[in-house]
Amino acid sequence: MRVLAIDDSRTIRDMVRLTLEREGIETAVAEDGIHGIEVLDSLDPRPDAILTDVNMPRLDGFGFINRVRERSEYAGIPILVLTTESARELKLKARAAGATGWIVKPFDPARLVGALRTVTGLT
Amino acid sequence: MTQIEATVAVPEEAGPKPDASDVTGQDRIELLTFRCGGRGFAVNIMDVREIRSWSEPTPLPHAPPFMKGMVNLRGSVLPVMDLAQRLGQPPTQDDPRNVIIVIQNGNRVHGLLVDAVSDIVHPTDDQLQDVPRVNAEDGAGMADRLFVVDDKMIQILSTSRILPEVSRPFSEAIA
Amino acid sequence: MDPMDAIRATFFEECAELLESLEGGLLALQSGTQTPDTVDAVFRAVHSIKGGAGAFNLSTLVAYAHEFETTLDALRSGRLTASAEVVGTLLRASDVLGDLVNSACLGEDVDVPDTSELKAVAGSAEATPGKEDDSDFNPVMLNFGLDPIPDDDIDLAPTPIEIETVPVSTSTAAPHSAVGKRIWRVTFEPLPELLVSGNEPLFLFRALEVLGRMSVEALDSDLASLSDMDVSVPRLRWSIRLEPTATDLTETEIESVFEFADDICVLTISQIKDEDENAPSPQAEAVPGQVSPAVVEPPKMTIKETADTAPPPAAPKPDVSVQPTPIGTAAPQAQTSAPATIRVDLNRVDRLVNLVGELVISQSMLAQGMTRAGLDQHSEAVATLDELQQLTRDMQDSVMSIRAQPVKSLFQRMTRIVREAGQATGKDVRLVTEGEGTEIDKTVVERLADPLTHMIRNSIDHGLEAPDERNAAGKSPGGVVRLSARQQSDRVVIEVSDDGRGINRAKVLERAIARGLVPEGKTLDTTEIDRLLFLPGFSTAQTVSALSGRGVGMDVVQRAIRDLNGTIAISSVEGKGTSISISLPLTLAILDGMIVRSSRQRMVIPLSAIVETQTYAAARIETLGPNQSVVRLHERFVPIVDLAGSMGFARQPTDDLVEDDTALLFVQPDESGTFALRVDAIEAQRQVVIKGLGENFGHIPCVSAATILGDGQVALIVDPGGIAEMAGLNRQNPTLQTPELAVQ
Repeated sequence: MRVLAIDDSRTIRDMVRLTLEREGIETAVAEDGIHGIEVLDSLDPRPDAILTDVNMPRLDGFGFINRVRERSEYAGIPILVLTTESARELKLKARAAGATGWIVKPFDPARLVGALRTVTGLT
Repeated sequence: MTQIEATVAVPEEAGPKPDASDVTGQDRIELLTFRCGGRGFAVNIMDVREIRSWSEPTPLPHAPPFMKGMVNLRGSVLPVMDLAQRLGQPPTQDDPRNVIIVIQNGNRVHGLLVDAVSDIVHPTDDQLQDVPRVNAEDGAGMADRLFVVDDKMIQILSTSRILPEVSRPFSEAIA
Repeated sequence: MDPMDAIRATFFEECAELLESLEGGLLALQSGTQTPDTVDAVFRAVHSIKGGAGAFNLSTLVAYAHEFETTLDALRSGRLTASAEVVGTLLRASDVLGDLVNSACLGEDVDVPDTSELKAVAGSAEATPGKEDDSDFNPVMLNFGLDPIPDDDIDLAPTPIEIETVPVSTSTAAPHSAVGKRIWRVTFEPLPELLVSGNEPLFLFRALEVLGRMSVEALDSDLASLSDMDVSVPRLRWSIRLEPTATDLTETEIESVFEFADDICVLTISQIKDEDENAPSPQAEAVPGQVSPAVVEPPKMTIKETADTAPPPAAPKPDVSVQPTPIGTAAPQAQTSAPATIRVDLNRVDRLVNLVGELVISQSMLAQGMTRAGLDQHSEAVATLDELQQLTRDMQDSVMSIRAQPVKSLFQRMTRIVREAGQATGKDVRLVTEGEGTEIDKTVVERLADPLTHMIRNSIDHGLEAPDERNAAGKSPGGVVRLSARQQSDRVVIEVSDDGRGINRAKVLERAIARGLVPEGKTLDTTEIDRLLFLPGFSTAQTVSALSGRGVGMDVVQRAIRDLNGTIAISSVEGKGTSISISLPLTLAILDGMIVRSSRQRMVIPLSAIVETQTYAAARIETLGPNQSVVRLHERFVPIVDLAGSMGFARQPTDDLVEDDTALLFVQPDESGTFALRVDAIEAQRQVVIKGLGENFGHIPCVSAATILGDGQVALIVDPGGIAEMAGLNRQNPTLQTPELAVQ
């Protein structure tokens, strides 16, 4: 499985990468929404799933999802939102933007990997 | 082995080594022995970075007499001290066999001017002996332990204690 | 290193950056120079610290950051106005947060600090529903072990799935029936949003299959005829019979498989009795992997453009996991991209700096060799060497600029010092900074922090008056400390000034006399008196204050600055204020110097300190006594100091002979106190590579660093200020005192 993880916090990026790579999941990272699009465009083949933070400079997670969903070549890529806020409203916003699901930060590694496996159908 | 020419033993990529001068508790310690002011000394070979031939150092201003100055060690500046003087003996006499033993202690690298290197030895733990307490003889505090080779006493020096204190005015004063 | 330790280190590194941007943002708010993004950035900084802290189970930090974040959220949503008072509270909170980060980094156990001030500010916000309550934010330690993770670590709380309880099934799921054979029936009908959300029914079934044996039936009764079928509207429904492996499988567990689909599908989960069920039609009994994907496939085929959306003609992208910011890709997205940056290990940069230094040395050796070989000045080789020298210069500048850093972060740190010092002394102080964009070597920036801190504390403690004293003097009650930086040719000048009471020179002189630094009855001009402040151990405070006492005088500051090859000067107008200015080289790696010989030693004098040179023979020298002479420089006589002699090097009898080459270098270490250094010869003016003496040598009097000359010999780089000190020039020694002469 190949995953693109976007978070403006280097700590979280490193953690996500460590978590995923320990499970044999190839991980690319980006620092914000704009950078996320750039990295996404540079990945060939496209990643199997995307993880994104919400609160980021330049382009936030929802904006990022919106842009990805506008692009037909990325249709169907599951996007999970990593967020510290678990409130319903945020989920609805994520949903409205086209997110596939959400993981609450600080994330539990098993949970994160499990969710990725569920949404991608890959192991 | 009685004499080492110029530059030998450069285990350089090993980088800064932990202070290996603590000789206690090791069964087989490897020591470099050398003569200095007519007496026998040794340092843990793990603390030795290299041995190089003598070259005239650039003197340092207002330095204690044992500080001979500094020499160019492949692009970095190496402080060199006369070990005999450091131990309170007369200065080392000029001799073509004089060498500089480059020792490392933590991040500090220092050159020791000595008469000549002698050998590499592996004394067993029971051959080593603690330094008996002697009244305030100069330099007595520099040795960790003693042992005997060919009926001659060899003092194992503590590299951390040989190195002079460095002053760090600001950080100390502000701290 | 354990990867988690590495991430922990990253976290604290990142915290430092975040704290900096937090403080920077708050200061912008304070000064009214914020941009629309400022509040967001400030919020994000605290938010990110909280997020990372949660992952490391730093509960104190999380708790405080949470309160902080709540207050910032009120600001962000506009419920709270960034008044001076509010920003003041936030700035103090950022200090506390910084302290907590430090404690956490050191592994110290601290209590959650008082948050009442923050709460009060947040409470003053208009009470409207703002930030969602995420008080369920539970730090979860990363756990890479195999322990099962309890479900309640994850927020599953608001489960909006409408479970249609089918009356029939509940009634048939009588407890007595079919012990250990509980069968579940799940019906699943995706809504149109499910497809665009990236959820894939097939994958959901696969996840469900993990729970037990299942059979899936596709219900296609709603399928429209092919002609009016809209691929974006799902028409299939599924009915799944699940025979769980675990007999105690709960409804919640089944539900959780559909967690991400909860509101975009119609889901029913019910328990049925084995016998009651109408077995699904055999042909629908299918392995989930074989569920026909025809309809659930995302609507890929409705795309209009084809050419544009084709994947870019892929520059080879070898490895997904390699992730630097893309540099110089063929067509960068122009307006969206921030300047591309990469993070480089400082050691690598330093290695490059060193290599360039070696290149400079080799080049000067080559130049020497060519001169010795007697090559014609117009030969091709000499011309090429000139070119090489120019290239090396350029390369040096480029490499140095990698290490250059704006002083902004340093200045920002000082805002806290000012706040704290103001609080400690009960004085109202405002810090004004200028020239924050001025760049200087990273190491210089780092090593300036302590001296600057000390100077600023000094300014506030001793320089600024208390508010009532200021009132009495007709000044505004609030004092101003000004911190400025500017580049002046190849040096950076940093100035700390205040609008306080200025230096009380009578008192300074009195104290200096009392301490035996100046002979009684001596008159000194103002500059000379000001320079007394830099004498070791001098302190003007009547009592040692808790703030800037600690026995640290300006002499220590001066030494720190000299160790950076810098100079320091002070000026003051009584009643108006004091200004201390520091002049520093742009880089710590290269120095323009004059190579001189004195008592057979070659040494380097920094060019920046030299104001003039004269040959000894031509100079107008007057002898005041044995080994004490002065020389005329323009309108004044200044003392002569022998270079080697002042460094304590043994003089040879012949050294005192004046030869043709004997020269005087007039040096001015600290913008005052010029003196003449006597050297046996001036050899060359050259760039030299600075070799720091730090770790191995500590501070050496009269010397700031060393260098390696073209012939491989080590040479000392002289610190003229240290020489002046060593020669006692600062001590107002009457015989070396510089007499003012009326020179026509």
